[in-house]
Amino acid sequence: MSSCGGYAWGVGVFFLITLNQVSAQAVIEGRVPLPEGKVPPVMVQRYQIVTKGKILAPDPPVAIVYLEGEFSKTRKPVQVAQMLQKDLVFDPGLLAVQVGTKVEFPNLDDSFHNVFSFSKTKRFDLGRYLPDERPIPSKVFDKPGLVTLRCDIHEHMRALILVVDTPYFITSDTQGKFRLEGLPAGKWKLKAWLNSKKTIEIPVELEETSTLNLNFP
Amino acid sequence: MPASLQTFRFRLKILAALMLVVVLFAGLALYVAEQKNYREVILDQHRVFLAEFDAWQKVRTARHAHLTLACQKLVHRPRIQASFEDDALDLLYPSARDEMNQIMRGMVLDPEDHPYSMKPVFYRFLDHDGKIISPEEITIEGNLNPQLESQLEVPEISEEPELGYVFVSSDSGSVEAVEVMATPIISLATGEIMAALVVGFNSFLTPSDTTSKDVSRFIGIFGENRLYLEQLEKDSDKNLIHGALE
Repeated sequence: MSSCGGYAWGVGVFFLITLNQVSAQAVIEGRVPLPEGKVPPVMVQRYQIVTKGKILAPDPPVAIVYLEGEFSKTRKPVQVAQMLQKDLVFDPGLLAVQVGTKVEFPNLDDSFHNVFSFSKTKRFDLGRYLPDERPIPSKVFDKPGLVTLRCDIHEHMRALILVVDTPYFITSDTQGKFRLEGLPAGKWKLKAWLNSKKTIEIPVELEETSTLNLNFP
Repeated sequence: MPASLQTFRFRLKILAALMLVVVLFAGLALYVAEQKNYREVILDQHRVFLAEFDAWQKVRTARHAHLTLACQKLVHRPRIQASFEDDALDLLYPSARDEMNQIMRGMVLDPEDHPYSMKPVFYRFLDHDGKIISPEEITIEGNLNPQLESQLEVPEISEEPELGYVFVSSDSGSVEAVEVMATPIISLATGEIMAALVVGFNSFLTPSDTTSKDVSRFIGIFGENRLYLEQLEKDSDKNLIHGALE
């Protein structure tokens, strides 16, 4: 009796997964118009995040493109992302993660680092630690929004983490090109985060297994 | 009249005349010598005063340079910058406490051995418009009455550090001159002025020199239409202050 019930449950899970895979095959590809970046004056770029008038933007410019909507049934499992501290800079300078993602901050330099954030989205202070710190200091980002990372020891070190409430997101290349895959069918909003003050969006309607070519205005 | 008597009288007159001339010349010479000596003494005192004043100015300049460096080091600290750039003013004073402790610890020396060392009295932050950002609680920030806080406000934050004085009245009625350094907080990323840090330090007044019987030297601060002389304030001798002003 119990083995029969277990069998039925297994079929149900398989059926759900199959449905999910079938309904999440659409693709959007296109381009986001990016502002012109500054040419780095030195080989090792010191500032990866530039600010002007309290606007934080990655340099060279890239966009984070994400699909917004109710994806509760298709949410991907929480993953672990990493924000490295290497050669006295954060790598990458801009990281996009889904809400609930655990981000590790490994120190790959030979000196102390002290990562902290005063952003309202996530305030934390990892304290000073060396490369051999185990477990690797980490934080779970449980609210959507923008987080500015700094190092208390190295005043030039800055990075951004954009926490998005969707499993469908990607960082464009420096030309603004992007390709989002495995998207569910339906009506959604496609958003492109350009800087801390500017996010552009366009409505999209996706069909199963369709590929949508779309350029942001 | 015998000739010998006439000769004696003549010689006496000559002697009296010579003595008069000698006395006159000696008196003149003494007078000239005294005047010369007096001028030399005055010049010496002037030179000593200028040398001492020059040395005092140099020490004061060095002190201000140290003060400026300490304040600039503080305003460059990532937590202070983050408080303004990330709109986290609630973390401003808690962060500043740690930073101030670290920076000021190296400044405060034993007052017994270093009577002229810098001692922070208070500190406050000004926002972009030059208005005071008051701390939620006072721990090491120093108590200031509202009138004094308003004196620290400025219509516009200067791009360069500025030095000034405020006068703090104590409960006992004495007035203390406090040296104030206002340092702009400039965003390291944009170069824009975000705020300012105002730190009050004990003023640099050397003790009055009254070792000489005839000459006394006082160093004070003129402000708010008053002359503040530390030694005289303690002695409650205000007549000299008012006399000097008049």
